[in-house]
Amino acid sequence: MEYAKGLTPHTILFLVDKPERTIALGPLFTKLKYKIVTSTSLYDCLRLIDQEMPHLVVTDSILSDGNAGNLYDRMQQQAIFKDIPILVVIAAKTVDQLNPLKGRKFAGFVLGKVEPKAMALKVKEILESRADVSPFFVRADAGMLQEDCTLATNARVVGRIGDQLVCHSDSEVDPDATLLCQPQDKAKGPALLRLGSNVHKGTSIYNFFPVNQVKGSGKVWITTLPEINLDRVGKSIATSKIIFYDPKPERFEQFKRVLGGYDIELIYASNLQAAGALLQRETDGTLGCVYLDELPSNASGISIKEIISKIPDKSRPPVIAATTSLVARSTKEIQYIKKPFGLGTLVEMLDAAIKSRSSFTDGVTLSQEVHYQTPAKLLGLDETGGILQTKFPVVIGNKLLLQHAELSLMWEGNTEVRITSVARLDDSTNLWQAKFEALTAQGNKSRYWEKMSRQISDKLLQSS
Amino acid sequence: MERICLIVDVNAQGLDQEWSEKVAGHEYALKLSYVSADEVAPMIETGSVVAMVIFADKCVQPVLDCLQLFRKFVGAVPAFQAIVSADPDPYYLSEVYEYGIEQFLHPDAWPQQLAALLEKVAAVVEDKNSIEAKTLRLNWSIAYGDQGQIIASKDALAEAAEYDYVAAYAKANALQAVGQFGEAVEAYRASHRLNKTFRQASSGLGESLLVMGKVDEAIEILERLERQNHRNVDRKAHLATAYLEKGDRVKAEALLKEADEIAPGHPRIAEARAEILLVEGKVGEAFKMMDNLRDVGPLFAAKLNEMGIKLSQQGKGKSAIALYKKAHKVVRHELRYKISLNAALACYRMAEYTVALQYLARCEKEFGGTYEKVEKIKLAIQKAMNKKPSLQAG
Repeated sequence: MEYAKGLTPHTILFLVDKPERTIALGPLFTKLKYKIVTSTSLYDCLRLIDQEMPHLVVTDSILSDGNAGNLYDRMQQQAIFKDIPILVVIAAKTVDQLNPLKGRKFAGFVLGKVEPKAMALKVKEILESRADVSPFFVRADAGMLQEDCTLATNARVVGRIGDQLVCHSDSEVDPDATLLCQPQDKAKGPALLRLGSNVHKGTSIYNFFPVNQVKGSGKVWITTLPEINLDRVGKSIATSKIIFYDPKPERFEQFKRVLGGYDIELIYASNLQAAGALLQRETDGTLGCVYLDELPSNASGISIKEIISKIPDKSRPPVIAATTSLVARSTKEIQYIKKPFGLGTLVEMLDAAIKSRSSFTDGVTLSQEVHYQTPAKLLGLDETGGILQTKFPVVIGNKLLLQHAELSLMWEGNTEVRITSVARLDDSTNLWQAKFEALTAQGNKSRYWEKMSRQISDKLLQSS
Repeated sequence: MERICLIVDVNAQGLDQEWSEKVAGHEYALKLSYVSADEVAPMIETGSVVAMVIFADKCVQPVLDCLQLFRKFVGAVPAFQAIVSADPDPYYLSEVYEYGIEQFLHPDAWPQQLAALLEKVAAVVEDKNSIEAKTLRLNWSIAYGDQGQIIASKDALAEAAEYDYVAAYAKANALQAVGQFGEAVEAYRASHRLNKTFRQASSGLGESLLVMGKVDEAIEILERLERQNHRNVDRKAHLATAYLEKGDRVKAEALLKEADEIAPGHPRIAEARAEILLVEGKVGEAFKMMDNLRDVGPLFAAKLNEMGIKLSQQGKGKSAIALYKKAHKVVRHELRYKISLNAALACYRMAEYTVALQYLARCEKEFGGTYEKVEKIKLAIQKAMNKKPSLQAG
C-alpha cells in the first residue's frame, strides 16, 4: 500500500532542561511538517507521552529529575510506548552523561551542541522507516476492517438563485467531488451534485451547485425549488461584469464574444498589473467577479495576490484563476479552474461567482435537511484517527461523518472526523488521501489508542 | 460484444507511432482503437464504439464531423467523449460545446486521464439499467430506423426522462423519429428545463418547432443559441429556412453565406438551398441539388412529404413518385418509412395498387412492425381492387 507524502505530521517530544532550546528548531521543523511538544522534566515528559503518543522522543541524557535511562525503562514497561524511538542528546562524553545509556537500545545519539539542521537530519533518518504514516498506524486490511466507507456531512438546502442550488453546511465542498445529496424527507429522491463552490458569508459556509449539472431522480425536486427572494429584501444580484485577464488579446476577443452570448460582460485586463489596478478601483460592489487566465508565482502573481488579500472579505469579488497545476487548491480568496476546461464548466463557475455576490442570505426562507455523501476507502487507523482515500481532494478543516459500521461501533456512535491534511497520491493517478482526526480520539491519545488496539485485537481473535 | 474507445487522430503528427507506447502500463476498461478521422464512420457503424477521444489542437471540420457521427450512431452522451488539446481557444470550446463536449484531456496526461474516464464509461455501459446504456440502445434503433424498437427503447427510458436531461433528449429524438413532433417538442422542452446549458436539446426544440410551423418561437430559440456560438453550420441553415418561411429572403441568404464561409460545401447548406428552391416552387432545380444531399433531417423531409402530397393531390402522381424516390435516397434512415407511406398513397390515388402494396411492404419493413396507417391503406386498396380488378396496374 502506498501513502501520500507528508500526509501524517510526526509528533516529536523534546525533553530538555530549558524550553528555549527548542525555539531554534521551530521554523525548520514546522517546515518539515513536524509537530513539536516540549517538556522540561521526566515527570512532565511521561505525562505528555501518555497524552500525545509522540512518534519520537528527543531527550537530554541528564534530566532535572532523572535521566534518559529512567525514561527508557519507564517506556519499556508499557507495551503501547515501548516501540517509540528515543534519541539522546549527550552534552559531553563524560561518565555521568554516558552511564544512564548503558544496556539500553536507543534509536540514536547526538553529541554536543544541537544544530537545527543536524538534528533534523537525524530525526528524518530515525523516522524514515515509517515516514508516510504514524508508527502506530494499522492498515485496515491488517485490522480486518472493512475498507469501503462513506463520508457524509449535514447540510440544509435553502433555495435557488437562478440556476444555482444553494445549501448551507458546516463544510466546504471541492469542485472535483461528486456528492450524493440525500434528503431527509424520504419522499424526495437523491441527487448527484458536482462542480460545487463555496461562499463564505460571515462565519457561515454556503455551497453552490449548478442545477444544470445535477443528476439523478432528485433533480425533480431541485428544479422546482423556490428562488431565493432577492427582491423581497431589496437586494439585487451583482452585475454580470467581470474583470477578465487573458495574456492573448485575440483570445480575449473570442471569450468576449462567446461569453457575451451568456450575458456576461467582460472588462479587459491585458496583464496582471492591469487586473490589479481595476480590482483596486472596484469599490461599489457591482463587479460580478474576476477571472485570471494564469496566476504565476512571480512578482506580478504575488502582487495581485496581495491586492486580493487586502480587500476585506465583505467587498472582495470572487476571483477565479485558471491553472494547469494538478494540486492547486481553491482558497477563500481564489478559486481555481483546471486547464484545459470546457465551456460549460467556465460558464457555471462564473455564474456561481456572480450569484454569490448577492445578499442572498437575507432572502432565505427554505430549510430542507439533506446529507451530502461520497464514497471513500479507509486505508487504516492511527492514534489520532486515520487515513482515507478518495477520488478528489477533501477540503482541509472539513468536519465530516465517517459512515463505517465497524468504526461506528468502536467509536460508540460518534463518527465525526476532521480532515487535517490532504495530498495527491502521485501524478499518475487520480487518487487523493486525507488524514483525519476522530472526535473520539481528542484528549488522551494513549487511552484512545489502547481501547482501539484492544478492539482490533478482539476482532482479529474472533476472525481467527 | 467488445466495447471500443476510438482514439481519433486529427492532428496527424505522429500519434500513430507513439500512442501504443503511451498507453502501455495503464489499464483501460475498454479496448482502444487508433483511427484517422476518415476511418471514424466505418468504425462507428460497427456498433461496438461507445467512447471516443479526439486528438485535435484546433477545431477543424473533421472534429465536428466525428462528433456528429458519434451523436448519430452512438448517442448524445457527452460524458463518453473527450478531446485532447492543451489550450483550446474559446471558439473551439464553444463549437464542441454544441455537442455537450466539456472534457478536455491534457496532452501530457491523457493516458491516465483517459483510463479514469473509461473506467466510468465502462461501469455505466455494462449496467444495462443505467440511463446511458438505455440511451445508447434507443439511439441505435433511431440510427437504423427500427421503428418498433424505437418505441420499446423509448418506453424503457420513460421514468428517467422526467429527471435526466440526456434521457429526455433521447426520448425527444425518438418521438421525432416516429413523427410525433408535438410530443417531441415537449420532451425537448423537458430536457432543456433539466439542463439549460444542454444545447442539443435547444437545437432539437428549434428544429421540431420549425417542422410544426411555429417559426417565431423557433427563431427566438435558434437566435439565442446563435449568440452563444456563431459558427454552427446546422443552425445557420435552420435559421435560413426559418427566415425564408417568414419571407425574409435577404436574411436567409446572408446566413447561408456565413455558413458557406465557415464550412464551404457543407451538405447542410445544400439542403437548406434545396429547401428554399422547393419553397419557391423551383422543383426542378431543387431536384438537381438533392443529388448531393445525405442524411436529410426531419425539417426538409417534412417539406418533401408536403410537396409530394400536394403534387399527388393535384393529380401529378408521377411527379410525386419521382420526388419520393429521390427523397427516399437522401433522408435519414428513421424518416424513410413516411416517404414510403406517402409514395404508396400517391400510387393508390393513381390506382396503381400493386406498386402501392410494394411501397407499403417497404414502409412496414422500415417501420419495424405493424403500422396502423399501412393497414388502413391496405384495406382501402383491397376494397378498390375488389371493385375494379381490371384497373390494376402491373
